[in-house]
Amino acid sequence: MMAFWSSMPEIWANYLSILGFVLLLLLVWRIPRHLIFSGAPDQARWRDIRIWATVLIAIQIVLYTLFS
Amino acid sequence: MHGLDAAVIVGYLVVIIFVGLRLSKKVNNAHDFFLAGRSLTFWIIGLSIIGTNIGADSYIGASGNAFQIGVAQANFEWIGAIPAMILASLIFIPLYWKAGVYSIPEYLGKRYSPAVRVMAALITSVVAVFAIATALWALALTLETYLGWPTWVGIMVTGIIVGTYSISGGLAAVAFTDALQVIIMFVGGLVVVWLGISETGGLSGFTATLSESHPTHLQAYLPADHESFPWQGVLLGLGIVLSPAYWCAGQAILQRSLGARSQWDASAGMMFAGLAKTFIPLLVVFPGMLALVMHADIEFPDQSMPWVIKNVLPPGLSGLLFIAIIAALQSSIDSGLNSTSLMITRDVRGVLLPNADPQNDLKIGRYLTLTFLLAAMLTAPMIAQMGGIYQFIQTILSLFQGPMLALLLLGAFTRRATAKAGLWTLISGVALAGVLLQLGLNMLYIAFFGFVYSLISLWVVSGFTQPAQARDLTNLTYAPWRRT
Repeated sequence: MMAFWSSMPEIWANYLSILGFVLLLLLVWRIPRHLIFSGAPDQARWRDIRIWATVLIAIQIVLYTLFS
Repeated sequence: MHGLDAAVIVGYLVVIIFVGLRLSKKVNNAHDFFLAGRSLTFWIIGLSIIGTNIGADSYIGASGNAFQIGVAQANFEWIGAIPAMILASLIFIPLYWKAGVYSIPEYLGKRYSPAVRVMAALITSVVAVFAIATALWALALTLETYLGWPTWVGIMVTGIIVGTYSISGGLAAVAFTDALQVIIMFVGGLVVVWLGISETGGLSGFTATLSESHPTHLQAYLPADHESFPWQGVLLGLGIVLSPAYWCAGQAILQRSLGARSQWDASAGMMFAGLAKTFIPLLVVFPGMLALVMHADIEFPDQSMPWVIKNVLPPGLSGLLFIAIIAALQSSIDSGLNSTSLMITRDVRGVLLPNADPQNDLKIGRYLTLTFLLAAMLTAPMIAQMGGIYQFIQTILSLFQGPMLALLLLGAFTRRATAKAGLWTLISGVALAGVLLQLGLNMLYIAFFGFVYSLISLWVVSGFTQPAQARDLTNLTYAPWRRT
C-alpha cells in the first residue's frame, strides 16, 4: 500500500486536489440558507457567502489545472 | 537610501502610530481591548486576517523557499489554506459565535474542561511568543540588509512602534493598522510583479526562462521523494491537519472574527480573506522565482526578497515594498501580542484565579502585552541559531496542531468526546509528536500522525469515560443536519 502510494506520480496530487475542491463545493451548498444569512442586515443575493465560496473554489480548480 | 524612500517610510510610520493612538480613545474595558467592542466589519476583518497571516514565514521565508522549489510554495496559500478558510467561515466561526466565546481555548474549555482550556492557552501562548520573536528577528534582518541597522536597533525600534499602538489601542488598532498594511502590501507586491515581468521579457519570457532552467518550478506539487515537501506530505500533513488547525483553531487569526459586529460579518470576513489569500503568491512566491530568473547573486535563498527590492524597484517604490515587508511583520507581531495577552488574561488567569476581578482585565491585558513584547525582543536574537525561519515555525506548529485539531473536530461534530479523554489526548498527542520529531520524521508527517493518533485516542478513551449531558452541548456542537 505504502509502495503504491509513494510510486504515484505527482500529477495525482493535482487530481486529488481538484476532487477535494469539488467535494467541498457540494458540502458548501448543503449548508442551510438561514445559517448563511444569520446576523446579516438583509438577504441580498451578494451576501450569500456560498456564492463567494463557489468563486473561490473555481479559481483554485483553475490554478491546480494550470500548474500540473 | 534615496530621500524619496526615506520619506515614504517615515510617512508610513507616522500614519500607523497616529491611527493606533486615535483608536485607543475608544478602549474603555477588556471587551473593547480584546474584541474591539464587537465593531469590526467584514472587509476590515478579512484584510486583518491576511495581515496577521502574512508574516516572517511569508515575505522572507516563502520567497526564499520559492527560489528553491518554485510555485509549489504556493500550496501554503492554496490547498494549504483555502479549503480550511471556507470551512472556518461557514462552520467554525458560526459555532464559536453561537458558543459566545472570546477565544478558541475558551471554546475547548466549555466543550471539554477548564484543564483543557488552560493547557490549550498555555501551549498556544508559548508558540505565539516564539512566532513573535521570529517575526521580530526577520524584521531586524530586513532592516539590517536594507538600511544597515544593527539587528538590536531593528528589534528595539520595531518593539517601540508596535508596542505603542498595540498596548494602547487593542484589537481595533491592530485590525485597522493590519488592514492598512495589507493594502500597502498588495500595492507594493503588484508593482514588483509588473516590473519583474517587464524586465524578464514579459510573461512568456519569464515562464520560458524558468521552465528551461528549472522545469519543476512551475509544478504545484513535487515528487514523492522530495526531502522537504513530498506531495503526499503536503496533502496529508498540510492540507488535512496543519491548515485546518491554523485556520479553524488559530487564536490570532480568529480573534478579529470574534470581534465582528455580526455573525455574518465574521463569516464573510474569513471568506473575503480567502479571496485575497488566493493572490498572495504574487506577493510572496513570485519574488523568489523572479530572483532566480534574474540570476540573483545571493548567498542564501532567504535573501531573494531583499535582493528584488534593491535591484528591481526604482526609488520610492523600493521604499513602498520595504514598507510592505515591515507591515507584514508588524501585523503578525501585533496580532500575536493581542491574542496571547487575551489567552493569559482570560483563559489562564480566569480559570486559575476564578475570584479575580474582571474589571482588572484591561489593565492586566495591557501589562501582559508589554511583557510578551519584551520577552519576544529578548528571544529574537536566538532565532538565528534555530535554522530557517519558515521551517522553524512550521516544525513548532506540527507538534501540537494535530492533537488540537482532533479535539476541535470531534468536539464540534460529535457528542461522544468527553472531558477526560480530551485532556489525556492533548497531553499524549503533543508528547507523541515530540518523540516523532526526535526520530527525525518530516514535520508534515508528524502533524498527520499526531492527528490520526489523537482522533483514535479521543474516540476510544471517550468510550470509557463519562460524556457530558446532550443539553449542555447544544450550543457547542455543529449539527444542522442532525435529526433531533
